[in-house]
Amino acid sequence: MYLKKLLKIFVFVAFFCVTALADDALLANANFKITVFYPDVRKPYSDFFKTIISGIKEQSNQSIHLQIIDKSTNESDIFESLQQNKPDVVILLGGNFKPLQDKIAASYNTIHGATFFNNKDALNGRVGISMDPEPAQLFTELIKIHPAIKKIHVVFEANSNGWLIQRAAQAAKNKGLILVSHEASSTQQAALIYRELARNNNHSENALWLLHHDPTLDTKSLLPRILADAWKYKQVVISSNPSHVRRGALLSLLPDNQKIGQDLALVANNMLNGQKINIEPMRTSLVVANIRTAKHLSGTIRLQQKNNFALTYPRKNN
Amino acid sequence: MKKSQAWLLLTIVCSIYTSAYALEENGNSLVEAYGEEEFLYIATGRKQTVSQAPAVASIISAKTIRQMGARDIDEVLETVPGLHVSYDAGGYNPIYQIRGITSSFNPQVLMLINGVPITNIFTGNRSQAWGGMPVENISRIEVIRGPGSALYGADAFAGTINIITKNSTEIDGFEIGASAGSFDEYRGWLQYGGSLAGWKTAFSAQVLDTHGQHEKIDADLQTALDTGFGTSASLAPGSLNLGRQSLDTRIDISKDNWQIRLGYQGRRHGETGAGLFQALDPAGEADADRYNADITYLNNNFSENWDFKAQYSFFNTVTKTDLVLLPPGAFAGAGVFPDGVIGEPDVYERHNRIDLSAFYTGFQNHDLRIGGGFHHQDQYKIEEKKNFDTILTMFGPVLIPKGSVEDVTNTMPFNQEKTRKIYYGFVQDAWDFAPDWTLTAGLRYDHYSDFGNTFNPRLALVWQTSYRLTSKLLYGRSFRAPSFAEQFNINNPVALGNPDLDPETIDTYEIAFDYTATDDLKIGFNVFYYKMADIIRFNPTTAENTGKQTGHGVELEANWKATKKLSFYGNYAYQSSEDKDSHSDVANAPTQQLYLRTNYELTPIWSVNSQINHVRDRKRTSIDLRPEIDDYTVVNLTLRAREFAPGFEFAVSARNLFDEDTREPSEGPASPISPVSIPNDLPLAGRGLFVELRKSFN
Repeated sequence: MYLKKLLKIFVFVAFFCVTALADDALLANANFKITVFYPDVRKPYSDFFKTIISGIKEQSNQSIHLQIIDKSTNESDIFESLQQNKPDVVILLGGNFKPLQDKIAASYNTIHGATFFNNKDALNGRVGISMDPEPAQLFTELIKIHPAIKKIHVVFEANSNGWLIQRAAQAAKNKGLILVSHEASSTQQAALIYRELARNNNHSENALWLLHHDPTLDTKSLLPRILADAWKYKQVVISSNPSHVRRGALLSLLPDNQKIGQDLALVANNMLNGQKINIEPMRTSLVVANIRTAKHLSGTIRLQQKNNFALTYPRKNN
Repeated sequence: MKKSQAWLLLTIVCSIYTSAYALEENGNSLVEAYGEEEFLYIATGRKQTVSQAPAVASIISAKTIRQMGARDIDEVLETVPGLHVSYDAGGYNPIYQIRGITSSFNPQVLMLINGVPITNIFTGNRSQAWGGMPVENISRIEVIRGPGSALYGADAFAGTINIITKNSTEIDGFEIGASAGSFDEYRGWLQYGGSLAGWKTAFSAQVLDTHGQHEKIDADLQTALDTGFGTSASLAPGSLNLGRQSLDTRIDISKDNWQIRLGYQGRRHGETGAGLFQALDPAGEADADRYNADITYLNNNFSENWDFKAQYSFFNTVTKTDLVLLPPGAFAGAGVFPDGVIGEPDVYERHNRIDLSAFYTGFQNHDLRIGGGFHHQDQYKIEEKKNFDTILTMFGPVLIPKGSVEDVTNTMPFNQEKTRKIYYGFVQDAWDFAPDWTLTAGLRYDHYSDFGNTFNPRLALVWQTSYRLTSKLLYGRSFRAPSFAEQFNINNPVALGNPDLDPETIDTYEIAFDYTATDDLKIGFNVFYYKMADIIRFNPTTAENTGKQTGHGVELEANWKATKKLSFYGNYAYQSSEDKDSHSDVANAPTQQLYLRTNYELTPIWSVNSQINHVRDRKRTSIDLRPEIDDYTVVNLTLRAREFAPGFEFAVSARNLFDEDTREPSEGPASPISPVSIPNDLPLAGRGLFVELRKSFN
């Protein structure tokens, strides 16, 4: 029995190694061209793209051509450059010029990065890494510091975040959790759901998950109410948006730009290998936590302000 | 033009415009993605620091420092509530007055660079040839008002200023910059942050050459002597002398758990301000060489539940002064000094420190911090040349000419070669004893080889009152170790050391509130009361633990991001302190301070920053009959253009824009019948204009 188990592991490891080697061999022999478009932004935001590009270069062994898009660039410049370089894959970083992105994606194998996606993007076959953190990782971090949680509630607008919720439901299931998704079509409807969730739940086993981008989550009026209620009723709130942690959510994940770059390169490799690619949330292990909230919530494992968090709140700055 | 052609042209123009506009990605969309600009830095690997005991603290970031156009750390510290930067006549060395606690050498404030004290043991301050500190290499400044001895040991008394320098991730590749402006001031800097041979490396060099502001002094000590003795030696009315040159370099390398830092601060031709004897001295100069090095091992996963940090640090500081204490032709009771009264005291000291600390998180609801260490202070050389002897008569001190400048190092030096050993240990526990309640208790024990033992406790009760409000009740005891000048001054009948001195002590009680009114408006408010004892004073000529002082006050600060482009920061501080010996208000420090700063991002490139600083109600000592010194309001304005060309930044800055007459109090009379040396106080700079240009390569 024991031997059989060992053999199984060996076969699995061997298979993994061979697959990896085959992939590497295939890619090493190929000479593909990747063009990366990234926007010209001022410091310190430019570091964000620089680090992503550094991640792409680190992971990829293809020939990489970088092209900055600034105010003086127009569509014809971009397409002229693409026709000259004839890239096998185009990586588009940033999300501010969708019509152009669509035009490029119509003619080239295109991967989108450093942006957010909606359901339509997923249905239209867009490929890329979203700035939404991987729900599975978010849930893992939640259970680490609040092990009693059994159910995670989320309020979402289906056209925007349906794809993410679908993925999150599976992730929750894999971890023995239940994702309770509440569909809402307006801020008013969402507000009522949030209020009910805050008042009517057993908060020792139920957590609330806030999405990074959802049209029903108004950050000016609704978010402060959600977080104030959460404090009042001792509701555990996690978020895909790290800035919510400053405002009082228990934890979130920060983008790991180098990793995003590496993952974009991996997606590019897979695409070149002819694999079917979808939209993926970003993977990161940079946790941001609110120590004050953790102290307020009973059942939270003590958070030490140590380096296992990338960032903790509250911070004092002027 | 045909109609169709016009349409075509319009369409082309529109499409070009639309394309160009559509391709423009601005920072705001990234802020939305990230939420906060600081996430950008975190994601690039800046480490978090272990939590300290709760305290009333302010943190000023590099970004704020740059926005306000500060050139020296004093300009930054002036913006902290309850902290006012005054100046001493001698060299215009800064006096960081915190909550009304002030003295001319200012040893009651502990300054640290990256957590390591830069205290000179001779006077207990940052050096008599301090010469300012440039800000380009500063990542942030953490200022704790109130007691810090339970953690930092000696001198964290009125407050603690910890300057954190930039590491490799905070300097983007290679940066150069220069600034120039009024008072013939020229600055230049060069910084590098990156990776070399697998080590994260940060390097910084900053130079300064300035003639300094040269406001007029109407009358000085020599003016009074001239009146008394019928001479005419005084150089007053005359200009202040504040020229100096400086070089600040730092190297910071780190790999895995190890970090090595080296630093050098050189000061040359540091002029004497209004003179060490409060007599103008255009010929005198002070030089300083200050070297520091530290090697730090930090392991956040030393073993389960344990963090561990070990640090060895070294600090060598040499201060050399060539002074003309009274000008040529001076008569000081017993003969004329044709070349002036010349004094050339030099002090050499070195400090070695070993500090160990660990953080334990294995107990339920407790965070335990323990540590200990050893500190060796060595004033290893004293040198002095002078052309006078001092005797004390019934009429006061009299200076007797020697005829020429003599080396008195081995015969009549002003101080002694001495060492001091310090052993210490501390323990601090943060105990979450109920939901929303944390009690932090700390105690530090220091054993000094000269004055013996001192215990300094700290208690902090923090209550997370509501979603938006945190309340704190704080108590702490701190001490200031006597300086070697206070302990070992000899051959100076006016200021004799006393080896039997005890440390000064202070007990401080604070109630503090942090209120987050909205996501964009934060308010801090605190009330404090302190009681100082055993204050060291030359009473009248020998240092003794005699003084007592109490004080109370409030500090209020608010930080408001009105819009994405417009932010305000303001603070108000009130303090009232009483000298228990004279039963009078403590002199010189402002009773009230008001500060307001606005930062407005006009466009993605242009921003404007304005500051208003109002200083009011500075009292005189009970025997000083001068009218109260005038209040003042200073306005500073900085216009900045970022990335106007790739990697370039430009700024133009006006300090004291409206050329307000601003003065800091000069020393009062020694006795009710003696004159004031500089009656019309110490003038600060009038309007100054400065331009800066920087370029980064990466």
